[in-house]
Amino acid sequence: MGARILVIDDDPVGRRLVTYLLESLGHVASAASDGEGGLALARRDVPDLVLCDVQLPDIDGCEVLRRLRADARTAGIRVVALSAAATDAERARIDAAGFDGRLDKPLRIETLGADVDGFLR
Amino acid sequence: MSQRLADLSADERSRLLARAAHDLRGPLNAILGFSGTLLLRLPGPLTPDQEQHLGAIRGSARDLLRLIDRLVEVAQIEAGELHHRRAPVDLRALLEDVAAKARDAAADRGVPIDVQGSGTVATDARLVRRIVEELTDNAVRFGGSVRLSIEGRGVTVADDGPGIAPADRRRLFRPFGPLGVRATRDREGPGVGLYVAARLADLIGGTIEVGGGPSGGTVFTLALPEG
Repeated sequence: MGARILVIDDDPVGRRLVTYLLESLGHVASAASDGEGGLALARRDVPDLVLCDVQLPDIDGCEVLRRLRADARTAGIRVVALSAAATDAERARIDAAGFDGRLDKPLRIETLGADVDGFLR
Repeated sequence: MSQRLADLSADERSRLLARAAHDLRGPLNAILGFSGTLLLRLPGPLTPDQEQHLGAIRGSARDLLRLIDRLVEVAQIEAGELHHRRAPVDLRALLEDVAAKARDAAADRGVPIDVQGSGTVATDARLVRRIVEELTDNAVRFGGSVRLSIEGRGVTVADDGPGIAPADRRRLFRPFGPLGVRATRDREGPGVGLYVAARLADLIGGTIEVGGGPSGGTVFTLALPEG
């Protein structure tokens, strides 16, 4: 049974890659290109999982997480960071923000299915 | 006012490279991801030629990612942003782990990797792992087979490749590399990787020696400092 997964990423090609992979894995994917758009979709649809890029054009991914957690309607959604961090210090900052997990870019597409199943469990 | 690269401080250079490495991950994610979806045959079957070409695209993108990550590492060392923390390290487990990760790329070249010996040393596991990764990567590029072993307080990485003339050995660890020494067989020479290994060895108070094997080839020995 597929899950409903929202992808928030400002990079259109990266967004297409993730939604394509999720759909090929049998999930139902929706997508937003910035933080505010993602928050609006999350409140409307209450997906099972949000994959959220950390660096968005309007608000930081950590702030998206904070607002999802602060709203009773979306507080229970699993939220995983999509990170292009290049240093251990930046990865540590993301890990400290309280996401349910982190996926590093470039994504390891061979294991994405198992990773997503792990986040949904 | 724009600043010349040469005028930037070490930590500004480090931040600039970390930013470039971050920004390169977007396009590399797309190249690796979509070449990967094709290789997984998600959209449909492939001819053998298509598979081979896609494999080359993917391998090249991985090389680019490793190169920029190494440059970030060098900049971080120069800016004093990498610190080492000592704890007991099971060297056998560390070498097994490095070998396991290197085996995919090594198998593509028909190079077997084996691990020998055991020992526990107080050192920084992460930095030692990075050094051994770079030495192993270099050995895989040039060796017919590769052996990682633990000898006393040190780790050796031996290959039975063509070997390096003694006069060329001291040039190996220069930052811009021994182009023309051993780089001719590969797109990316050992330059940046061995330079990173040498700088990380300095950071943990160790040394890297290069010698010839008893039956040809090259042996790199990482000596770890006394606890």
